[in-house]
This record gives sequence, C-alpha cells and structure tokens, in this order.
Amino acid sequence: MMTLKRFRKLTDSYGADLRRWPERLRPQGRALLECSAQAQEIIARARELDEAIAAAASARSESLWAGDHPEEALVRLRNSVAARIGPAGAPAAVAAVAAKQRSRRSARGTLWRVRWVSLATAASVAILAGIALGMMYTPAATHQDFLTLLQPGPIQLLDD
Amino acid sequence: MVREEEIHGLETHSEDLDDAAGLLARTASGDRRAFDEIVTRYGPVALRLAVRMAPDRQSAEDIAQEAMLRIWRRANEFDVRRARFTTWLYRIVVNLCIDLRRRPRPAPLPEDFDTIDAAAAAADNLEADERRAALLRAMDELSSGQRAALMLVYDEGLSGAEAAQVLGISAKAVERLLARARARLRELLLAGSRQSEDGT
Repeated sequence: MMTLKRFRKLTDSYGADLRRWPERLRPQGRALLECSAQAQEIIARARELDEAIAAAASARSESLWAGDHPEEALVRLRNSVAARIGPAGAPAAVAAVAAKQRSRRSARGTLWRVRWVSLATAASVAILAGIALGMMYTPAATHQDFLTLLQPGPIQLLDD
Repeated sequence: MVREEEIHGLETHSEDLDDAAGLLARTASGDRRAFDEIVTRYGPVALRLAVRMAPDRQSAEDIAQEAMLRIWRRANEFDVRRARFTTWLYRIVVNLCIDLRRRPRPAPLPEDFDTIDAAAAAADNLEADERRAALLRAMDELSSGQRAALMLVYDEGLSGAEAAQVLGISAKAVERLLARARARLRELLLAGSRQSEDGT
C-alpha cells in the first residue's frame, strides 16, 4: 500500500489527475484514494490548482493569439520556411553526400594520375638502369683500339 | 542545455515510425514535398509549444520556423527507429525557447503604452482582466525548466519518463521541476484568489 507521504509527493508533482502519474503507481494511488479521506482531501486541493494552471496556460495562449488564428500562423510558417530554404536549397545531408561524391571522383582522378606517373617513373628508371648496366659490362675501348678501328682494313677480294 | 543528438538510444516507439520515417528519409534526400508535409503536420505542434514558452507571438513563430529548418538540415541524423519524432521536435523547440530566454530582453514598454481606454472598459470586466493578467504573470514567473516540464506533462500529455527524455534529465528531476512549478503557481494563483475572495 502506498504511504500518504508518497501519495502527497506524487500529487505535488503530477496533480489530481492520476492518468498523469507514472503508470506503475496509478493502481496503488487509486487504492489509497478509495480508502483514505486524507488522500481525497489532497486530491481536492490539487484539483483546484490544476484548474488554475489550465486557466493560466489557456490565458497565455489566447493572449498570444489575440487577433490572429493559428491556421494563419501555419501558413506564415510554411511560407517563411520555404523562403529560408530557397528554390535550390538542399539539406546539409544532401550537400554532404554530393560533396562526398565529388571528393570520391577527385580521389579517383588523383589515383589515376599517381598510377601514370609511377608507371612513367618506373619505365624511366628501368631504361636508365639498362644504360648504366650496359656501360658497366661493356669492355671500354682503349685509345689504340679506337684508332685501329678508324684505319681502313685490307680489301679481301684482292688477296684471293 | 540539452543536445538534440542525445535523443538517440532511447526506447523504440512504433506509432509514428512509418509516417515520420518515410517523410524524414525523403526530406534527407532533398524532397521538398516531404518536408512541406512535415511542416504542415508538425508545424502546429511546434507553434503550440513555442507559444506556451516564448515571451511573445513573434518569438514563438521564429522558434517554430527555426525548429523546422533544423529538421530540414538534420533530417539524415535522426534515427526514427530508435526514438519518436515528436520527442525530437519537442527537444528542439524547448532548447530554442530556453536559448531565447537566456538572451537579454529589450526594456519593457511603459505601463501606459497602448492601454485600453478606461471609459471603454466595463467595471464588471475589470476583475476578469486582473485575474487574467495575474494568470499570465504567474506563468512568466516560472523558470524555463519548470515551464517546459509543466507544458510537456500537463499540456502535451507526456509521461514523466517521456518528458525526462525530451529534457535530457531523469524522471525524478522532472518530478522535482513539476513540484516546484506547482508550489510556485499555488503561491501566485491561489493565494491571489483567496486574497480577492477575502476582499483584501
């Protein structure tokens, strides 16, 4: 059984309408309300305040909407939101997706460029390495050999 | 201040899953018609909430507009399978209202600004006007948190746990806010009415 202290505390927060109370505590609250005159008194006082609060909330809404209608406010809201977004507007999400796609395209382009440059560099290195190896393993011609090469050789046809 | 992103990870709600999920997904992909449907359907909720918390109607309309724009910009961030769309909307509006109340306000208008002609005001309406003014003042006396808790639980019919989700606090903290709000309103509203009944 719920204590009167707990009942009062819940009423102080949620008011007299037990439908606002936490669901699991409602049956205990109803049970106490049925058998306790003090609980009924607490609810009666809370109901008085509930009505005053409802009147205050309603007075505030009426005061703010005086001379206007909420439906007109909705039309203004729709128009102003549409104007703020603009005809070419897109949510940040869409813009982000587009930016990501652009970034991916750009990254793909960069990748291709990098591949071509790498290939060209590798080919150049291979050619240079080939030239270097060729120079290293070919016996260098001496000065004498070089001159011999320049001398005309005997004509074989006359020897026969 | 409550971060709107913190709403993720809360319990699943099924009632507005289909509608809100579809509309938000379409909005996130730039579908203006879907977003207009969101504004049409949930704009009145944003306006109703803002009117109860903002200092005046223009501010309330500005807040509702900003709330809708946030939904447009962040539609892809919200996972409607994990939380109710209206909870997210409540949170956005409440945060905007709290932000607004933190900003310095312009000086109030003088007492005699645009007052009703005394001759035109009938004597029997005077008491009703005073009572109404007292009611309006009483709501303004509450802190932002108290007013938000009261509005969510009393006007919007949220449970304490649901209001706690919107405000990013515990259900116990919501209970405390409600108790303080009611104590303050009892002081302002019922003490005033008892005084007038006593003729003081």
